[in-house]
Amino acid sequence: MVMTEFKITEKAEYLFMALWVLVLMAFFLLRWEMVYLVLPVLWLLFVAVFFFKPTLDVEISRKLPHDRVLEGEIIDVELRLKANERIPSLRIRDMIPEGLEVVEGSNSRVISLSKGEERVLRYRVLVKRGVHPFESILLSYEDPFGLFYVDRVENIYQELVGVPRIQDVPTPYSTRGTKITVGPLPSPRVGEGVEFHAIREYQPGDPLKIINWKATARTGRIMANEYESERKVDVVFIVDASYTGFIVFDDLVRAAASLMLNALNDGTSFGLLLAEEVPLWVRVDYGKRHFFKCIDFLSTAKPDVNNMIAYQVEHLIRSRFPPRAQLLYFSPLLTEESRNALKTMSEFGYNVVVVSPNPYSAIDPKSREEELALKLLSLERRVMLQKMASYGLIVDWDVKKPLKAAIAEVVNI
Amino acid sequence: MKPAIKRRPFALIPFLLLTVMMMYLDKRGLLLLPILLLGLQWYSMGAVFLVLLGSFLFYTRFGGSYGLIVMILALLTVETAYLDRERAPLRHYVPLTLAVFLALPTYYFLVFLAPLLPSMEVTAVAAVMLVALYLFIRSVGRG
Repeated sequence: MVMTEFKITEKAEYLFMALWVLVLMAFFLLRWEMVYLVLPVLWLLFVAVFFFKPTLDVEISRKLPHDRVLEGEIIDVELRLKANERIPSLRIRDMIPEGLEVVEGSNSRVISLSKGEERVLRYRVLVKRGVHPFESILLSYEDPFGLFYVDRVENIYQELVGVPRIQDVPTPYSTRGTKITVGPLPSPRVGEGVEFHAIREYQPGDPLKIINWKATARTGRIMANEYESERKVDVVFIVDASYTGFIVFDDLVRAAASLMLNALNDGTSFGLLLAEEVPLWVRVDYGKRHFFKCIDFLSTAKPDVNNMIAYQVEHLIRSRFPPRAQLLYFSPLLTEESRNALKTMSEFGYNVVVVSPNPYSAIDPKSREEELALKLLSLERRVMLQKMASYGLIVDWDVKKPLKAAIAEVVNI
Repeated sequence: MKPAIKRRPFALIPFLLLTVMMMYLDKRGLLLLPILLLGLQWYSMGAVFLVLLGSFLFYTRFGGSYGLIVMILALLTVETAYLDRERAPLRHYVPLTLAVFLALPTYYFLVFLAPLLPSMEVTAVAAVMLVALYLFIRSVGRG
């Protein structure tokens, strides 16, 4: 969709004002016959209007190298223009999203185009995590005399997703988890990575190869080995997106994304609960496609007004969380609600690992008073973490240090 | 090292011509020139100068082709100063000069036409012209 708007400039307003006053002066001074003295002004306006008013016939497009980019990377944005008429002075402004920072070139230029000329303009932006919508390009033409201008908004919508930067981290939990017992019913899992569990009586339909001949000889009945399949634990990522922790929210998301890649490499299945004001639940699943889906959601996550995380967690634990899953809880634990959520997880018997970025480690004190305040707050936080330690394994992460080191410190790798 | 002067000096040409013509016109008119000097830098002051100069010409009855050329040079000075400030392409000066100087043949044409036209009540002509001017400005503003 294109919107074009013609406007007169401030300069034209001055000129019109002068024209009006001159005509009125001719009137008031009873020199009406001398009104021809305004002819130069009239001719100037006439020429500007009838010879230099363009239709702004320009084709423009924007090219982004990818739609997903790692946060912190610098990308080239290309604007391609083709003028279908002569445009002596064209101002172009690509309305870049707030989250992007121009590091080279400019998203605003003034160029001159002749008819049929094509031009490529480039600038470079630093990408931050999140969804960055490029919405429109503003084209503005001013006539050579600066009397009027034409604004045209070219709505070219494109989205750039800043994907969280992923670090290599150790696994802070045991990947051996939920066992599925191979029972009397035929199961496709029999024979794939199974471990001996018990001996039971042979049931019709069981494969012959599981018959335990020694036990059969000993008991006089046909006995069979019962296996339990060796299955990896289900991991549920819970991200506390309450706005109180906005200062470390990017770190929080990076940590979640890093541990998600770790889970993918371990072959575990994982789900995601993004506890924003409206919670987002991605059911437990395997594989790369599922990983990228979760990463997309993490990329778009933003700190939100959420005082309901305990309720959200309790509701999903009852209805969605797989039994005996490993929970990974990402929260600075700043609010009572987020701490209650941890208690709920623990009360329902889940193993919980809390990755808690320390929000005070992200602040550089600017004065002695601030330094003292941070020390007090850090002490308070340490006491709080000690209290919460009974509900799960807590990784207290100083965000200025690598997450790897913080995890290694807790799990004694 | 001397700082390079980036400002174009083209506005000085009509300014000097205007000064000379004003000297022959009426010495009192020279008092307005400082305002035009400000107009070289600020367009609003240029517009004020145009109003004052026009009023001065009306008041002193300096019309005719001489008065019109004075107005042309005044407008040309103000507009050229704007192009100088904007560092506009040189080809933009040409339509500007031509446009303002078109007032001269128009004036002669009107002078030639005047005896042939039926005499009209001057107030009626004034009213028609005001309405026409108003409509023109509205159409320009709306695009």
